[in-house]
Amino acid sequence: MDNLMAAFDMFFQFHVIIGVFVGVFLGIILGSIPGLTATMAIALIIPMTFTLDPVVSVGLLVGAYKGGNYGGSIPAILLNTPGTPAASATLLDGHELAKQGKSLKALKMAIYASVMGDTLSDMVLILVAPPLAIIALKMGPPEMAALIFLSLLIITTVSGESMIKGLIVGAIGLVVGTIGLDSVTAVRRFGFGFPELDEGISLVPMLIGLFAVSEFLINTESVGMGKVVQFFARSSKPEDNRVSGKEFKACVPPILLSTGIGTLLGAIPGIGPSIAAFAGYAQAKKISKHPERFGKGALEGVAAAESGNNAVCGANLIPLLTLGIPGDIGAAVLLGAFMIQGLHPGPMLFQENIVTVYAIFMALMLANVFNYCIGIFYIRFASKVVLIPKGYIFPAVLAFCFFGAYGFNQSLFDVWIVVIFGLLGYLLRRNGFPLAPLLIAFMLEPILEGAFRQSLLMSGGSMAIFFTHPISGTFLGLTAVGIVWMVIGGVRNARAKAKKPLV
Amino acid sequence: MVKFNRDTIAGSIMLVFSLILAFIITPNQVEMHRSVALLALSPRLFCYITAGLLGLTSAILIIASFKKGQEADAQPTSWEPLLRGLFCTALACAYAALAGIIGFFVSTALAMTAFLFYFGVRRWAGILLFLIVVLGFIYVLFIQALKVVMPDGLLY
Repeated sequence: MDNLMAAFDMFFQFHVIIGVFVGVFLGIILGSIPGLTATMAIALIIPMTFTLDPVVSVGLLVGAYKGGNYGGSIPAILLNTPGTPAASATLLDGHELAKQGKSLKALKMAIYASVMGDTLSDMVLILVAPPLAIIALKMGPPEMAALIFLSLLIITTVSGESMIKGLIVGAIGLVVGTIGLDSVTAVRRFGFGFPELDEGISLVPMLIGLFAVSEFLINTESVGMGKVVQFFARSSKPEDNRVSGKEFKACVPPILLSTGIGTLLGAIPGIGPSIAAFAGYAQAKKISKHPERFGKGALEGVAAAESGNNAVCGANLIPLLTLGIPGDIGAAVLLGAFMIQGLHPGPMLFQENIVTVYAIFMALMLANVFNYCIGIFYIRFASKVVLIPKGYIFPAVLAFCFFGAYGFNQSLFDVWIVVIFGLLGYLLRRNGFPLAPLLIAFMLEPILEGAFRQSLLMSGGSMAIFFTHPISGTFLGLTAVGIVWMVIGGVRNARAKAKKPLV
Repeated sequence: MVKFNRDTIAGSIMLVFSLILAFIITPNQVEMHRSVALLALSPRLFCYITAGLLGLTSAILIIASFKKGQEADAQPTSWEPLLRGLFCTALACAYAALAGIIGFFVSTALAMTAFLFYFGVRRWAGILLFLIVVLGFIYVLFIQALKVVMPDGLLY
């Protein structure tokens, strides 16, 4: 109770509340601009948080994460272009509604569903995280190494279209993670004569390069090739511009179902909001009395897609806060922000910084309130913002990337890190490699390596320690089952493709 | 004639890199600690493990891409988008290099003008307004609020 009161004191301060507000505001605006994802929004905001208190900083970033996830639905509905990949399912019905002149109705339903999905998922996080952290505390180095190994396998295999490409990118992330002084012997690894590399690759420049600069470079390819966007005029009938009580009531079951699915999938590392949105959408269609309306402007479709993708936000923080394992790119970027602020997510966070954790929970809930308030106000003039020409947006993004990266350590070396990882991210994305495993593997490498080597020290060099400890043995068993399942799935897919007649 | 698809090329590059990493870079860039007797204490242990993992997965990608055959390359690929991306990467490199020579703000103004032109903005009034707003915001945020000390350049 004392901790809760202390958290109240820490949280209910003017600058903290303003921080959450600004985060949500920036997140919604940046997320609503096609091409700027929620992750990119966080990456661009991180440099602004260097000098802020941890709670303000995390509140700002959590707000941006949630706002960005919701903001993506706005261009999906208005322009048939998802602002973020997570909003891809929203456009199926959202844009159809816009074509019928019901864009405001769709935008309102999107915000109701987003906020409901987000809030329920946050409640699950608040209830589940503390007991899970207590269990996690009982894990030693072999268990931790096995768990990270299992998580990395899941993340790398489900994050892209190709499992093997996910694994390759994960391996690259681990390689990049080995750069810097060895934590056990203090021997320099891959320094190449640059003392700046002694502490390893800086996280902020790396993620700015990987996500923001690569996005910039991808967009430079399509200059002059942009598709013509068409706005559909809003209907003047009041009933087409609001969600009636009856319509809202009809959307409650798909929202609850999709939130449940999103929360469950979000708690599993690697399954991002896009998968949750489509899974929620598909299930909502199944339980609907009018499945034939889906894809033709069903309000339940918008509700299911939005509640599904937003429910991932809170659930994603369960493995992050309790185990230190980020569930998706957004959570990985948040993990970086936590670390910059001296907070190390994992079971010890609940022991050493419980007051801060409670304050973060409060920030999450307040971000939902702001998400609703700002969103409901913003949708009235969002059509102006989503049409800002890319020609102005992307040069400004690049400038913020460079200044942000420089400002982190006040080193031009970091600007070069941005350029190098921007190019790497661009080339990987062009060839169908997902970026999430690279970032997550990079961030987990020190923990994995530390736990792995500690385990070997404990056992005198014997690998048997990973199999003789029951929990780590179970994790490794699950990993083996996962690999076998992947191989069987891959073979089946290949056979199915081979059987398809070539037309 | 053997026709390589993108995955074969990407996998081959990764495989070659993993071999270079394991056999050239790691032995040259990671010293062996004199006191290391146990494998677990070796600073090279994880470097070899990760290089091996990269090599193994790259080899699997190459094999899988060969099995896939030429179906992936049924459509002709255009080099133009890639060249555009690489051209902009070169511009970004020039921006980063100039930042340390002539100063961050001046190089930003030059780079932004170049990119605005690249993205098709031709109105000088628009470019000027854009530069004033963006550079003004960056100045207020980074110099005034965050107290970031910019590198010394010939100009500013």
